[in-house]
Amino acid sequence: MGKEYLGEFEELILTLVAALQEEAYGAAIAEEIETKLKRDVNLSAVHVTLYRLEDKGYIKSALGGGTKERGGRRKRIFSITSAGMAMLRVMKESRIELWKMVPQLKFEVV
Amino acid sequence: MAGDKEPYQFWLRILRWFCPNDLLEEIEGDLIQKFKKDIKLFEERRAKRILALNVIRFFRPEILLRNKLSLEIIRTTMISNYIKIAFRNFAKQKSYTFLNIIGLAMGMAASLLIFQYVKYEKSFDTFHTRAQDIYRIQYNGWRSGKLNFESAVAVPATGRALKDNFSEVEEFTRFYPRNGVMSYERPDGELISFYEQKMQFADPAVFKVFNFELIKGNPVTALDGVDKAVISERAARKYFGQEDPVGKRVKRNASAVFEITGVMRDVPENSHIKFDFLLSYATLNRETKNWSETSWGWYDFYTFVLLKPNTDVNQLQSKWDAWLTKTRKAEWDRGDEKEEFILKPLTDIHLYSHLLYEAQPAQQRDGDSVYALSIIAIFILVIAWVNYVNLATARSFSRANEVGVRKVMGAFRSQLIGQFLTESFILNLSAAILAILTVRLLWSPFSDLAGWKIPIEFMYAADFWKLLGLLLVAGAVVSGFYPAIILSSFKPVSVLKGKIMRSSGGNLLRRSLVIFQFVASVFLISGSIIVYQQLQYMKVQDLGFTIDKTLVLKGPGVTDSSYNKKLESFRNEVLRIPGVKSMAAVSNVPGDEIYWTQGVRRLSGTQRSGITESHLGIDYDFVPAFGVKVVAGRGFDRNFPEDENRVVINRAMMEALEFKDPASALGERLNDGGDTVEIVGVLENFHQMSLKNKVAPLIFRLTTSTAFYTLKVETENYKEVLSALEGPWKTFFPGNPLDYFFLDQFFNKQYEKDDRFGQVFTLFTALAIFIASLGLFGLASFMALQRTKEIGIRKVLGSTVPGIVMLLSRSFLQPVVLANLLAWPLAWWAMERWLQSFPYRIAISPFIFLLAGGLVTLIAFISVSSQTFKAALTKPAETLKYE
Repeated sequence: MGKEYLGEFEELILTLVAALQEEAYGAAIAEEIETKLKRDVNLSAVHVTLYRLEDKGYIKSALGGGTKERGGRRKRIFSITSAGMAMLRVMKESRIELWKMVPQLKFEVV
Repeated sequence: MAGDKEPYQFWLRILRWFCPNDLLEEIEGDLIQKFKKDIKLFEERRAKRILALNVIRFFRPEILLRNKLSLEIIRTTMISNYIKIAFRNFAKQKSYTFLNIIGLAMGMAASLLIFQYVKYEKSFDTFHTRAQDIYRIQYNGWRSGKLNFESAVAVPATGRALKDNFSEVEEFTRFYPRNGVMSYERPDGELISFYEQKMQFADPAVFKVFNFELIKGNPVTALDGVDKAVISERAARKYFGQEDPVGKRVKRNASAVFEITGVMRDVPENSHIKFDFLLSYATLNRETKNWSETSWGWYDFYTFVLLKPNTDVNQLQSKWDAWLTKTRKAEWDRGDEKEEFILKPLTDIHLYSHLLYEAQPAQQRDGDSVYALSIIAIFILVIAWVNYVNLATARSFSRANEVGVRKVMGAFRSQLIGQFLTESFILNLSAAILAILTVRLLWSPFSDLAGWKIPIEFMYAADFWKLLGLLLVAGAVVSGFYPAIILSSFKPVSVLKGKIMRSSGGNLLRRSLVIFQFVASVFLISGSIIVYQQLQYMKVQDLGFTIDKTLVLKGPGVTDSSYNKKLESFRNEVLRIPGVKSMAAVSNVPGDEIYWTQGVRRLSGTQRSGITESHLGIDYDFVPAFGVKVVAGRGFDRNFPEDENRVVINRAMMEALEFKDPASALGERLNDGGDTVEIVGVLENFHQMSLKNKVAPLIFRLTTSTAFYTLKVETENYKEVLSALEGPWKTFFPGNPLDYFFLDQFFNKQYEKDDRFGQVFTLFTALAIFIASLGLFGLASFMALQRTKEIGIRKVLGSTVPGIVMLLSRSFLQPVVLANLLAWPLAWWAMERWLQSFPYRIAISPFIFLLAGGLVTLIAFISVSSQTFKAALTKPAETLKYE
């Protein structure tokens, strides 16, 4: 299983799914990225990534309710699975491990 | 939907076009949500542009192929595995695979051929766009409360009466057939003339009722008016070559001139009525002083009516019957007779109408025979399927281990069923490919044998492939399903322990399937023997006159006042030719249906009404030349100049006129179509038509007929006689083609379609038996294989080879014997029914069944014994050494 890894964008989406909880669906995630990260993202990329994560078993989904602003269409609400949560944790820990290796002193000099 | 008028609608439609359905809703929702937010931030145009961009970005493989690809991968990997396993099994069991494929392919090929044939026969007259609305008027004549005749031709007044009095009748048209010589004088003076059979005088509406397509000319006016003719393309080529026929003039019997006003496509093969010339009906009316328009007595007219769509024909028939009774009652009562004019569907004529004077009786088929052939086709197919089921279940034990291991490894039962169905599908597919090749190769030899004029294009029609697909799928499912269920039902634990349950159920089924195969075989063999016997019987019967060594000349259509003299001089010239014994002029030769009928009534006795009977015009020489037996009185004689007002009758006529015996008929007087005539002789019955018809009552009149000259020739060298004939023919009948045929061939043509039916029946019978024995052969070889050890032990313990052969064969011969017992009564019943349609028929001999049964048993024994002998001769040391 060690070979499994996530790309940067995948990790971002996975994190947002975990964070947004009940509000984790395509348009909301894209909006979140745009507002919080000031990063341009297109909807299709978000959707494709969500589907890919679902295929890999890190998130699962169910159809939620529709609202007027969506023309009556239902949302697909995604939620993180325990495998996804474990993956996220592993990634975060390995980042921190790596971060610790960076000499902190340099910053003080500058 | 509220959103229909929204500005984003167009782009969503684009999305809908490519996006998988299960993703559509959520994506649409997100896009709408985004758009609604954008439109608050920017102007509408920009928001729309963003939307468009977003939609287009969804056009990517991850979206397009989602849920398709992943599922397909699983399915295709499994299927490719099934296919691989199937081929491994085929390779392991080559002979078994071969037997199955050959059997299935032959079964498919046979049923494809037969079903094409059945389809062709059923297609007759259906090419007319309104075929369902076209009816022919059948004429039933009743005398003294008895049905006198049922005729395909009716009186000419009926068509118009129907059209004028019933709004349901849209149009009517009549055909009046005439033979004769047509000639065309080319500009260079050369005379092109042919004897034409059945030119039809037809009403102008013929092109409205039917879809006979005009290539040149106006369908409305082409036959409107006198002296007009429409000819077929074939005839146009024959007479005019490359010239344009329209406007040209042709002469009928060197007198009546017709102008060609149209050229029509050749009448399709699958039309019940055929012709090369249509002549305008008005010409006939002029010739007959309108009698052919108004007559209620002259019945020579094929009359068709076109009804308005969705007309209730039964209702129309009863209104029409009432109308007839009202208008015709007085006339009927005068002669103690009654007429019925019944509307019969056009599309039923070819297969189900067997009336007097059918338009093309020789090409008509018997619906029951066609039906019987389809049953044979199904038999053959089922026999081939049974082979597969039997062989597959018999072999199931050898594959039990495989099934057990697969199940242990986690195969679902549905997957195993899928695997076995795949095998049967591949087998059926290979058989189908082989069947196509076979059908393609056999199409023309087979058409020749069966006399089917089915164009090869039938094979390229969609229907053919649909049928093939159906056979393929049905075959794969029907033959594959049972073995798949059986094989997949094995319990892995017991199978792998080596405990194979001998399923008595499967055994019973296998035995009953074998029994079915042999019931079908015995049935078909005894059937074809009986068909053959009946056909032979009809051919060797004494016809009551001689038809061999008889040359028939088609008489000149052209006559004038000097004809009698010319005929006499021609006869004298002909009789001088060496080898020619006699010459007789007759209105119809044997085997030629008689159209000359008129009312006959006794002037003495109690019979009040007359009867309508056939007349044959003969001359002085007919009776001696054909060797017809005179029962009482005499035939016509040159020494009695009064004979023109005398008649001779046959025995059937004597009975129809209710005379006690031949002698008492002599000297009696009759009213024959208005003439008062005296009976001078009674002839023994002879078969004017084939033995499929009862001998009809006949009256012979003394005529100088122009129709046929029959020459009794006492030499094998017909060519010499014919060349000697040419001189006098040209001298006395110039401008007439010399057309001739041999009477025995002509007469026996009546049996042609029966002969062919018999041959086809025999062929498919042989095929059915062959396929059945293939199956038996395969089954025997597997059984022998399975019992190898048992045989080895038996031999060690002292069994003899014949003893073992008997032991092994017995289990196969039992079902065959049982099959015989079942098949005999079945065959007897079916063939008895078939024979009932023949007035002169054989009695079914029980030996036929013994013969058929013996034959089938022998074939079964041969196919089984080769395997059992092999098994019995194997040395026990070889089979037992692994133990």
